[in-house]
Amino acid sequence: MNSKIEHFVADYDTNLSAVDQFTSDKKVTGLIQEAWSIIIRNPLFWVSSVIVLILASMALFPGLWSQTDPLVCQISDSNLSGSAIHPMGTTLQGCDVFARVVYGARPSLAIGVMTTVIGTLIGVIIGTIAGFFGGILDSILSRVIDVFYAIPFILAAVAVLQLFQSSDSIWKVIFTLSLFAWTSPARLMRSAVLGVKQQEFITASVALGSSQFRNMFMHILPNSISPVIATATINIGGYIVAESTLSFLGLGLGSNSVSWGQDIANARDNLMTTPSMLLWPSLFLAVTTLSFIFLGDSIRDALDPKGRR
Amino acid sequence: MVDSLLEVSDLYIDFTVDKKAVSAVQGVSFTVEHGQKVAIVGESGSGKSTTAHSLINLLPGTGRVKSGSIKLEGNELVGTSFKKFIQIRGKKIGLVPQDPMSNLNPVYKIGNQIGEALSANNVDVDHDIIQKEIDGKVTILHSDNELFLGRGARQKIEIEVLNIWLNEANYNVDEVFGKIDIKLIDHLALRRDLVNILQSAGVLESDAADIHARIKALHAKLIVGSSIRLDVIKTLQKFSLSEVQAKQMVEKYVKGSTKVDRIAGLLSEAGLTHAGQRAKQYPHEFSGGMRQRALIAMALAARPRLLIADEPTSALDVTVQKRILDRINRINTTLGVAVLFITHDLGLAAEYSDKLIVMHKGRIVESGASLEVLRNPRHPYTKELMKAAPSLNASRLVSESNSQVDKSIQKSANVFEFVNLTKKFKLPGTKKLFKAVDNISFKVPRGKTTAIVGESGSGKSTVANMALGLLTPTSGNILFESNSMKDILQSKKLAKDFRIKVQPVFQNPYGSLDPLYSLGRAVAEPLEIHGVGDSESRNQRVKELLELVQLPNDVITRYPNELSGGQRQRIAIARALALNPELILLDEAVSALDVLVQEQILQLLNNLQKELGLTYLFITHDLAVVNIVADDVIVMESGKLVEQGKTVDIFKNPKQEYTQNLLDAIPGRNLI
Repeated sequence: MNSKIEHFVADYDTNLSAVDQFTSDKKVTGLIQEAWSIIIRNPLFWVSSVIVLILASMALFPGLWSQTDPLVCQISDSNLSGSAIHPMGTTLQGCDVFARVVYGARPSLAIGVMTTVIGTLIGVIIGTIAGFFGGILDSILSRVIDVFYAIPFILAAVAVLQLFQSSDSIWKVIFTLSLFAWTSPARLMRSAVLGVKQQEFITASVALGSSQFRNMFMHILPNSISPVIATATINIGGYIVAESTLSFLGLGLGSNSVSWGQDIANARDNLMTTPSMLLWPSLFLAVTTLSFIFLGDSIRDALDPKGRR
Repeated sequence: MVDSLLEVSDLYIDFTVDKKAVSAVQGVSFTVEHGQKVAIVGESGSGKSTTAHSLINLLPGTGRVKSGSIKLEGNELVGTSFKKFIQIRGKKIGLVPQDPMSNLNPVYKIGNQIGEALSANNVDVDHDIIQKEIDGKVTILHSDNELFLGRGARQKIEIEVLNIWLNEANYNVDEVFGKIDIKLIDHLALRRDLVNILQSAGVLESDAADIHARIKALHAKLIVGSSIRLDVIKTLQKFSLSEVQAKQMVEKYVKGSTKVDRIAGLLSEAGLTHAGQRAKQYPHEFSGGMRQRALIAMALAARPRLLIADEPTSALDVTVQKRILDRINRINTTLGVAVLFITHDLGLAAEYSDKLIVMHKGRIVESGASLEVLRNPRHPYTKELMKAAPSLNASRLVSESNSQVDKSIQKSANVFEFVNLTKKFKLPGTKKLFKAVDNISFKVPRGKTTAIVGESGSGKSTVANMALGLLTPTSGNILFESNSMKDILQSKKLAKDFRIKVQPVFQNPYGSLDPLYSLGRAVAEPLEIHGVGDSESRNQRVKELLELVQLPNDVITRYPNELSGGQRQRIAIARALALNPELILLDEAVSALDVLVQEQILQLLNNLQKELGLTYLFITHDLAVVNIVADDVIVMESGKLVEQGKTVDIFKNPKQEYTQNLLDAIPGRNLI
């Protein structure tokens, strides 16, 4: 056991490069560039963005996709199956299903996107204030968030929408959904801010003499926003579903307007005779929702702080 | 010729990064003999941990042994099935992981987790498995001599020994015991009032006190679940029992332990006191050092032949580190377990190992007997490491004087003066106040480096935060250039001036830069905040600053994620220098860096000090670093100032025991 231990020395030609030298062979990569380079390699991102773009073009320029007016219906064409003139068939009233589906994209997308934007904006502001200032302000805001969280969403939406029964505008739906949409971004933002606030570069910035607000807007906000952005994208799909649920219940957009939820509700009675009436709006709704979820997922993967460094 | 315990030859390990193979270990060969202590030393990225993990098939992620052989007691491990490795892990090779904080499951009691290590390996808790080298052959002894001492057995032995001692002191034992309450007798040996009880039973006070002292000493030597028959016999003989008496007693009582006792025994082997009670606690009730001991106990549970200690102490304070390493050393001598240390600290490696292997970029550059390598390093890399290791260097860094400081301006002699500074914190959930800093006073002279040194919980960081004005003292005063800190923070003008003149550099090079800011913007930020110059002059200043910290201008457009720890720390220093400060507060600024990089940064700081006449307040736990950079030292322990003075004086002649202990704990210090 106590045999002599040999003294081994490797050849001196081992490459001893200057310690800790900066080598700039890599391309410049900021975190945003890096996230972009990750996201463009994700096939899910491409598939979902193409679908979202198609849907967006339907919402903005429905005339490009269908020359038929969805509200002009020939009762003589009632319950037709797919043909050259009506590729997806017609409804009981003889309206073109394809045209209705195309024109239905606008209110669905508008409600999904607007609700998310408004809800996220309010949520980010409240969450940042709660997380950054802490103390009593945080306790009060957190309890308010909890209260809104505890209200059953559909029930409350039904109650609120009763107030606007006379109106046909999509804004009443956006307003109602936004009333409850801000809570989860607020919670998310609050916890992200709490995490970032403790990091050393924030202390460093305070010690440098930067003001509270500079700290909040220049350092904390940009560093905590990415999870909120990712979940917001996922949520768009959720609000589109919520709108159709409300329309299905007869509380969303009025019966004169075109929307997927409305069509699904109308198709209910003729499910056995013309299933295509139910199939197409439901398919569009499902594909749209899935695309936004996939898009949000790929954004989250690219922004995931664990993947950094 | 006996097989070596471990024989690694020509080992190559690859990782797959972006579908390309990256070689982490390239042709490493070494042996570990039975009972030998071997240390692998290297910087981060040298492949030392990868090599160690390959031994127990725990390579992370995409790691894979490409070629080579690992033989344990002559059996090839490369290519061995996953199932067989389960037999090897724990039983043949134990691992003490690096981070004691995250390696214990917080929802289970410590004892349960050690019990799991026992049952996972089907360990017999009655016997200890002892391997011995007899005539060059390794034999496993598994006889009655290896039976563990149980809890009840110890009690009975102690009573019997008490009997014998009383008899020796010419007392009639039956008479004495007859006078003692029968209920007490079983627990008699351990009673604190043993002296009184014996006295009341007619034993002289001096005899009773003597017997009490001896029984206490005996109790400390008999460790339930750890001492085996052989140990007990030896111990009893030391306490003046004859061999026959001892053997009789052992055969009568020592008949193996229960699992609970064995767990306690393992914990005491790892150096935990009150092991029985400790086993019932949860990890969060343990300090870092105690957790590491629990992990050592787990690694030793199945009596492995080889213990891999992967940076076992790098997260711990120096004095705790010394105790843990001494304990591993003792385990090595008493149980004959071979130890493979993985460490970045050359001094530690040399002090605690027989054989030293230096790795660099996946290759072994030098290996040999520890002291031989340390005293006579031959490879240029080893020499460089030696030169950079602060623990092995006794003198302060020197920089050539190139001072641009204008001495004509009159300035106060001290930048900071701390007067009777106290900071109390409210303990959460109670009304109790905790004194983090307790009435300390010291001065920070201009143009010098003052170091505050102490272990975790000493209050050094609290002092730092008060000096930066981030915390307000509970009482006492801080004077900055003769202005009271209170006035400074109240007056806008003074506060601005203070923020310009005092700049911090923090410990964590990964956390102290905003990941979304380009490095140029990060360095320019202080100028921006204080509205210095226009964007063009700021760019110019950024370039100057980068030159000062020896980084190329290319980095301006880059982001922190592209830099190494040392480079980030340079950026942090450049940022701190941007406003021409008087004082830079370095809070553990080099603790996270590899030795060679650390030496570079320290040299850089020293040069900057000479050049710009800076004052440093250096907060650190590492006395070795203090020795080479500081002019004055403040030693703190649990909020109190223990000792202060010139660095040279304190290192040569520490007046307080605590300081002496800290100095002794620097590994490798006495080897050169």
